[in-house]
Order: sequence, then structure tokens, then C-alpha cells
Amino acid sequence: MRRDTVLIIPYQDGPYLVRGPVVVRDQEGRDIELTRNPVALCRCGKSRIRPFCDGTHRLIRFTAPSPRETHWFDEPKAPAEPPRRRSIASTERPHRRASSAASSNSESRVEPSPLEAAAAIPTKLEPVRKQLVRVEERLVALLENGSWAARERVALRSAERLIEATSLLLALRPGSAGLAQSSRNEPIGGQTPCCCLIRGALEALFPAYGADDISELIGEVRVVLELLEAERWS
Amino acid sequence: MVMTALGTPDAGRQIAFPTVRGPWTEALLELLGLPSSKSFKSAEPSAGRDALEDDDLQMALYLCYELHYSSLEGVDDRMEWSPVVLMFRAALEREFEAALRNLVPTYEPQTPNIGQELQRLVREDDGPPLSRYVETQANLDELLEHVVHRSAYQLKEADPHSWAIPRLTGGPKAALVEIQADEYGGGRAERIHAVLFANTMRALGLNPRYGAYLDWLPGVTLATVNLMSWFGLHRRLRGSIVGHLAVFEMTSSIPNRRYGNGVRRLGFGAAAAAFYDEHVEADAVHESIAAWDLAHALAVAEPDLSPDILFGARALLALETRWAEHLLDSWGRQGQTSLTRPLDRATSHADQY
Repeated sequence: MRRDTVLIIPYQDGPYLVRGPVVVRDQEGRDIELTRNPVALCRCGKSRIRPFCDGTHRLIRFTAPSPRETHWFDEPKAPAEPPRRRSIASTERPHRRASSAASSNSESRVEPSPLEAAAAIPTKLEPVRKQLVRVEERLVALLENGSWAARERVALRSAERLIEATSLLLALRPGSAGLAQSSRNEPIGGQTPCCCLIRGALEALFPAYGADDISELIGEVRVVLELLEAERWS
Repeated sequence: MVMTALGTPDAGRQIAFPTVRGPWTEALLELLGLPSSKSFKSAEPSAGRDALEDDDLQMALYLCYELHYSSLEGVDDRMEWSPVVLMFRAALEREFEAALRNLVPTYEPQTPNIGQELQRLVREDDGPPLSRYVETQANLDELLEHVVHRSAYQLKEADPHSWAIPRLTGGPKAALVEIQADEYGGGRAERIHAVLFANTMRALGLNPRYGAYLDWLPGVTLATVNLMSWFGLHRRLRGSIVGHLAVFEMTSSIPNRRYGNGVRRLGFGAAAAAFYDEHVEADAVHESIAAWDLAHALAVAEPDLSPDILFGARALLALETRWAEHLLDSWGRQGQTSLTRPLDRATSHADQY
């Protein structure tokens, strides 16, 4: 490697080490003095001497791999299965089964609902799963309220689709079949099809509907999205 | 000649043989041909005394290693390789090694990935909160004692690890040299870390001269330095000095930030804190190189060294814990010094050297 090459190495759970002739400059054009080479630049975002690393990543238990992270659509392809439309309710909710338009194959199947499948996901997605359960319970309660106007019903149905999409997204694991494999779409603007669906639905729902309950529901769905983003699923 | 920040030409190191502490240091005094101490009465070796905390044994071992780092007043430089002195040192090292292997027995690591295992060891290390105490509560006496303890190593910072350079090859060698180059100032003498520590001592009103506080250092402190010298000077233990350096660097940035805060809390300025501030940033760089490019890479190149690497890492954590516990225990008891004697005798004693 030539001496004038700048080499950047991200270390596992640690900083970027930058070797070679490099200039670091703030956005006002002032050079930030480098007192050593290689220099360690903060990757966790929590150093108190940014842009330089000060070891805080260790305190906050920052984790990040060294190699490029693989996205879910880079995973080795499992045998393709047709997408399944599932009721987002479990089989213990007979009233939902009756009213849902999407329950065509939920009665005779033993496969878990998306939320149940999501229960087997890695622990770090647990907050998302719990939030989804909360949102779904609220949605069920709201749908049982017969007095909603048509416009509000549309909002609730959209939220239902949103929950469904998020649940399916959560249920996806590397190599698993499902929405990810069957869609095979390129991400739009760097986002997965699922998250586009979620974002689109949110944009449609918020802040058009004023009923407090729906606003709260939308707020909780936004939390789901934020949690997902935090886990870099978008 | 290089004018260091100490204000004096870099004349090299020289120490005086400290006060005899017991049969080991008395025997070494005689071996080195120095006049025997009139004030010391020969005592029985203290039976059952933990070798890792024995003030006498650890000082004798420290002085044996000092023959490689500096000259001793009144002692011919040739004594560094005197077979008799080396045999004496080997006897001390036998005690030292036996106690260490007992404290840190071999174990089956959770993963063959040594870089990852080192991270786990550091993450799960549950040492006493010494740096937190110095940051938030220590009084001036305690801070000064802390600095005197650390001077046993810091005034020759990085030298014990440098012994490993000719004993490594390839990637690990390059990584070690990269770290050491930074420790030694990156070509600028005034930035040598040992010089920065001397500046800190001076700014705190302490005597920055190499070896000035030998008599004040207890065995538990000397053991932490002897560990490094022992690892570094034996090729068979090159894995251990590498593991030691990796964990040393990995456990440096955060405590040094706290020590710097403690220094500032007690009213000292940038001159006193410079050593600590420099280490926060420097060791944030070094820890990645040491853990992965040095230790992990050495384990990949020479898998047989993996147990030694982990032994070095765990021995460091174990001895540092004992040392920190000693300090906090001593300070916890009102007015008790963590040194062998209180520091306020320093000024009169320094005149002897």
C-alpha cells in the first residue's frame, strides 16, 4: 500500500482507526489538529472528545462488527415460499377472526401468528415486539368500538396493515422465507419495502386524524418504527 | 543532549539501593557487593507471607530487574548479567510464578477468538472503583499517594513491554512497535509518556526523580511492575506480555479520564492533568491495536501462545485489583497511609539521593 494512502479500519465494538495523511476539518473550515497517527475516531457517538475516541464505547457496551454489516436482503436465499396472508391476531381471538378480511388461511394452520413468530427473535428486538403487542391490543379495543366514523375506520384499518407489516418484518430472520424473499424488491432510497410501507402508512395517518385515541395509537406505532430504526432495520 | 521538560539534560537513570527490608533484600545487597546495612537486623523470613504482597521479596525482585533498566549507585554495570545475581533472581521468580499461577489458574476460554475473549475479560472485570474514588472523593494526600504508587512504573512507562519487540515477528511486531512509538513521544522527547508523568509529579509538588520514592513502595505495588518485567524479559512468556499490554491499554482510557478529573477537582491545572488527558486519547488508539493487531494476531499466528496471552491478561487484572483494594482499604481506615510510611517525610529523605 502506498504511503499516501489513507487507511481506515473500523474495529469490532470500537472506533475507526485512521492511518495515513489525513485532514480532519470541522464544517466551518477549521482544521482539527491530529496529534497522533493513527488516530482513533469515535464510532459509538458518545465520546466526550469527539471526533476522537476516548474509550466511552466500552462504558456503553457499544457493539458493531468490523466487516461490512449484511443487510437482510444480502442473506443467503432460502427456498422461496409464496407470501402468506395472516391474521395478525392469534387463534385465541375468535372475534378478530370473524371480522378480519385476511383470515383465509389462519383457521386450519398450526403455524404461529407473526407476533408469536416474532417472540422467537433475538432479545434485542424484544422492545419492538412488546411495543407491537401493546399497539395490537389497543387496536383491537378500538376496533370493537362500533361508533367510529368511516374516516376513522380507514385509519384503524391502515394501522392494522401497519402492524401486520411490522410483525412480518420482525418475524424475518436471516435465511427465513417470507415477505423479504418474495418481494425481491430493491430497497427504495435505501429502505426496505416493509419500512416503506410502514412509513407511507404513517404519513397518511398522521396528523390527519384528530380523535385522541387514534392519535395515541399512531404515536405508539411511531414508537415501533423508531425502535426498528434503532435496530437498523430500515 | 536532549533537554527534556524536566529542565535537565537526559543523563540516564541511576538509583540508590533502598533501605533493606528483610532477608531477600539483605542477601541481594551482599550479592551486589554493597556495604551491608548497619541499621538492619537480620530477621527470619516471614513464614506464610503471600509472595505477591511481601514487601521484601517484591523489592528484591524489583531491584534485580532494575539492573536492566538503570544503574545502581556503587554497583558495577556488569552485575546486570552476573550469573549469581541471575540465579538469585530465578529463585525469586520461582516464588513469584508459583503464587501467580495459584492466583490465576489456567482455564478454558469461552471462545478461541482471543480478541473477543480479551474484550470479555475486561467487560466482566469487577475491580474496586479506585478511579471513581480518586475522581470524586480522594483528598490531596490520597491523590499524591496514588501518584507515588504509579511512579514505580510510569517513570519508565512502556519499557517493560519493549522487551518483547525482538521476540515477536510479523504483524504483532509491527503493532507493538506502533504502540511503543507513540508511548515514546512519536519522535519528540518532550512527549515521552514517562516525561509527561514526571511533569505531573512536579506539578503536584512531588519529586520527579527516577527512584526517589522506592522506600515508600509496598510489595503489592512493586508486584504490578515486576509482573511486566518478568513477562517482558522471558521469551517463553512473550504471549503473556502481549496479553498484559492489551488489557493494560483496554483498561486505561476511562480510569485516566477520572484521574484527570480528580486532579482538576483538587485544584490543579493543565500541567498536572496533561499526563492523564494524553492517555485518554492515546490509549483509545492503543487498545484497538493491542487487542486485535497484537494479541489476537499473535494467537492466530501462534495458537499455542493463547493460554499465555490470557494468563498475562488475567494476572494483570488480578494484581491491579489487589493493589486497588489495598489503597481503598488503607484510605478507608482514617489516616492510614497506603505506602510503607506517610509521604510527609519525603522532602528530608529526598536529599539522600
